[in-house]
Formats: sequence, structure tokens, C-alpha cells
Amino acid sequence: MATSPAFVSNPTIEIEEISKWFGQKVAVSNVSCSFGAGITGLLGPNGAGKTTLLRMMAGLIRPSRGSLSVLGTNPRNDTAVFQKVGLVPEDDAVYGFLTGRRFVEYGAELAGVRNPSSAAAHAITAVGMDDAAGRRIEGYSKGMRQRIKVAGALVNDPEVLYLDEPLNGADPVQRVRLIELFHRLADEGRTVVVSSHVLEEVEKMANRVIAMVDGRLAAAGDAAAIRAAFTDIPYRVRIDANVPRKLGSALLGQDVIRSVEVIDETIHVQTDDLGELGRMLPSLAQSLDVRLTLVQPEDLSLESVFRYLVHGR
Amino acid sequence: MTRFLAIIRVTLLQLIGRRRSIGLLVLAAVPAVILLLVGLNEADRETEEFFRRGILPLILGVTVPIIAIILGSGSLGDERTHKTISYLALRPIRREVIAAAKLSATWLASFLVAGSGAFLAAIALGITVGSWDEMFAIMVATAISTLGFVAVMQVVGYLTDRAVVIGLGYLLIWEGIVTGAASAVATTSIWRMGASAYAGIIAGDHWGSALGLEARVVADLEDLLAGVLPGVWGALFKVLGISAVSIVALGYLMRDRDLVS
Repeated sequence: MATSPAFVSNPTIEIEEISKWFGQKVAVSNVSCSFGAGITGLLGPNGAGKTTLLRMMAGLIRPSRGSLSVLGTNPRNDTAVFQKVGLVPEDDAVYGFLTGRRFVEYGAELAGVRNPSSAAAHAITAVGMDDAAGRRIEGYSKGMRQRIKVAGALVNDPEVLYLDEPLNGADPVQRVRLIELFHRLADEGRTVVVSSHVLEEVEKMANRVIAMVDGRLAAAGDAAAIRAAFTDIPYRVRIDANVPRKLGSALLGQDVIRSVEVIDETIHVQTDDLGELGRMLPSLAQSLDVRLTLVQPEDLSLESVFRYLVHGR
Repeated sequence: MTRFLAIIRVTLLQLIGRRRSIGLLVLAAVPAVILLLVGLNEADRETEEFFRRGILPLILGVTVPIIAIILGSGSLGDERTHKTISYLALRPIRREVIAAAKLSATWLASFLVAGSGAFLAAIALGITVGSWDEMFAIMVATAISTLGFVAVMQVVGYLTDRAVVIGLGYLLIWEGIVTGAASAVATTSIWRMGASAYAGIIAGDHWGSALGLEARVVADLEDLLAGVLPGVWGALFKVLGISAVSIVALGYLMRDRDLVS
């Protein structure tokens, strides 16, 4: 199974041909994949089915078809698995009448944690909410609510952590801090699944991506591997040089190049073979006595990959 | 047990918000105020009769169910609507335990509010008639009716966002009209279960058996019961049965249906 990029070896979460429909609307269609230790980004535009898939994994909703297991058991049938699972839901759902500390302690009590107060204090410190923990949640900003939800999910020391748009409303400093926290949890061998439609966030957090479009699994792997699967779409490469027009003209004659544009003294080429371009370009520049200052693929980013997945271009 | 108590504590805070509590307490106090106003201008016997034929049905058949409808439908219903149910359901707790803890907390919250009104009505009866020994029967009847209504409404509230409207419709049509008109189904009326407990306690405490009651008191109670036999244990078993069905049904629903939409 691990040969396909949608699957990992030693999975903690296994999903097999899972579908979910609400009346006539198909939210998730025939998705098979697995998740293991580390951070996996669940990526897709709004309405792609990410939250539905995450909710099925968490046991909040029941698949219409297919099966899944979390830590070897079906979370719908075996509530004991929730001892080792944490969820940060997307919705702004919190008990506003509780203080932040009480909210996290409540989670610890329900999870059967031995010392709820100490576990809550530890989780609150991890998300940097010590100063505000004694205040009622209804007075929190959106970012603070988000962080207290993360603390609530961490309080039972979960092996599997689901994060649905976890950085919503967090300020830049807190974003960095939360991303560091998620990386630390992943480094400890936990399975962290992050759902987001913000590419930049996923790119910073996840070393593996499951991309969803229209309820289907569109691609899986890291951004470069997913990009490589688009064999019909040439790579775009930016080249800066001291004599761009001379180099641009020379590039036009090369087999590996599909097209060349020189815009504002910058060369943009399209090629089917990045490797061959990388091998050929230095010697060509040397022969022309042109100095290269920058060679940079323009569409290896997750954003480009995502654009191809969603729009085809 | 820690989990059970934790759910009860948070649910009590959830249900008894300041504004909502004040509104419900005012509603619960209405029968006592009416009784006081009438009782101060009527003879003792008329006031006693007015209490049994007018105030007790008002408490058990109107204020108790309305309070139970509002609080019962919000117990798990609000958790679904506000999507906080994930904090409850994604924890290592049996669904039936969640349902039982929620029911206990909601009954307690409803009884605190409805029971306050019933207590005030009992005090009003004591002030106007000088009879204080019906207080226990009134409180037991209120507790029993509250539990029955809350158990039903907790399931309805979980199933639909329109639980309050459905609850009020049920109260008016089934509890108010159908069970009053057809004695064959009167035993299914939840407010009459409370009334039957009240009548059972009154009969036991004062006269040994219903047969020994003064004729006018018997007539008052017969009107109240609409054919249901008096008896506190029978009423208690019925509402405990309804509660058990409610817990099992909610356990099944939480396992079998999507917890969020």
C-alpha cells in the first residue's frame, strides 16, 4: 500500500474507499489514503471535502460508504480510542461561559486524565495562554479562542491530533509559535493532520500533502512530487542574467526549451525537463560569456501545484 | 464518576444563564402569584379547590413543561447547534453515560427553576389556607413531571432545531387536549404522572386511602387525574422508564447518526 504517495508505511490512520454524501450532495467521494507520524496537510479549496474527511476521521460523522480505522479501531464504535486523539474543530465552538483554564480542565476530566489541573496548566503554557486563562472565553479574541481550543486538544497528550484551520485568527507571532508547537509534536512521533485552505500555512507546517478537489483525492506527496505528476504542464523557470536578451535568444534554439519570454530584463522559460535545463544552462551561459544571477523554478510551490489541481493551469 | 460529575457541572452552567434563569423564574412564580391574589379574597375551601383544579394543573401542565421544554431541548440540542458536542463526544466516554449525565443535569436545572415556583405556590397555599402539609406532595409531583418532560425533550432537542416549537405543540395537543379528552391515553400524560404522585401522597398522608377522602377533595383530584389512578410509585416508575428510554435512544443516536451536520 505504501508505494502510492497517498499511503504511508506504519499508518496510524487508514482510510479505505470512503465516501460521504448529504442528501444529493457528495461531499467526499471514494477516498483512500493513510496517515502516519509527522504533519500531513489536508489541502483543498473551500468545499473540497477536507472538513468532512477530517470529521469522519475524528468520528464526528459517519461515512456513507467505505471504512476507516484510527490506531487500529473504528472511532465510531470504540470510544476508548479518544483517549489518544485530539481535535481542534474549525467552528468557533467553545463554551463561552467557562474560563480558558476551566475549559481545558473540563477536557482533561472528560478524557480521564489523572491530574486534570496540572495537565491543563501544561497545555495552556504550551499555547502561551497563561495570562488569559483565568478569563471567560466569551471575552477572548478569535486568535485566543483558537489557542485555547488547541490547548483543549493537547490536554490528554494525544497520539493523533486533528487540526481544522488551526491558525484562524492567530496573529503572526502566535502563528509562528503554534507552527513550532505542531512541529515539535510531530517530531515526538505523533500523527498531526492539518486541514487548511491557506497554502502558505500548509507549506510551512506539512512535509506531506493530501490535496482534495471536489470531494476527491486529487494528489498526494510533497509539493515537488505532486508537481512532477503534471507531465503535460511544462515547468516555468525564472532566469536572471546580466545580458538577458542574448541568453534568451540562445535558449530559444535549445530542444529542452518550449518557450522563452523576456519581461523587464528577466527571462521566463518553459521546459518539460528541469534536470536537463539545469545541466545545460551553466555551459550555455559560459559559452555566451553571460553571468547568471538567479535560476528559480516558478511553479514548484504549493500554490502553483494547487492552481494546477484546481484549475488545470 | 469524575466524568459524569464534570458533565453535570458544565451543563448546569450552560443551562442556567443569568438572563434565561430570570425569565424562567418569573414564569415559574406566576401560579404562586395568582394563588395568592385569589386566596386572599376567597374562603379557605374555595382556595383549596382553586389550587387543585386551577393552580396545580397550571404548575404541572404549563410552567413545568415549558421550563422543561426550553431547558431540555437545549441540553444536547445546543451542543449540536453550537457544535460544542465534539468536546463531549470525542472523549473516551460511553454515549449512554453522556446522555445520563446530561439528563441528570438538565433535570436538576429544570427542577431548581420549576421547583422554586412550586415551592412558592405551596407557601402561597400555606399563607392563604393555613395548610402547609401539601408542600411535600407538590414538590414530589413537580420533580416527577419535570423528569418526564426533560427526558422527552432532550431527545427531541437532539433530533431537531425546532424542538421548542414541537414541544409546545406536543404540550398543547397531546398533553392538553388528547389525554384530557380520552381517558384511555390519559396514563401517557406526563403532567398527570406528577398529578397522580401528588394525589397518591395526599391520599396516603391524610386519609389512609383515596376512598377515605372527603367527597369534594375526591372530586378535585378526579378532575386533576382524568381517570389516572393516584400513586407515587407508579408515577415514579413511569418517568424512570421514560428516562431510561431517553438515555438508550440518545446513546443510539449519538453512535449511529452524525454528531454534527
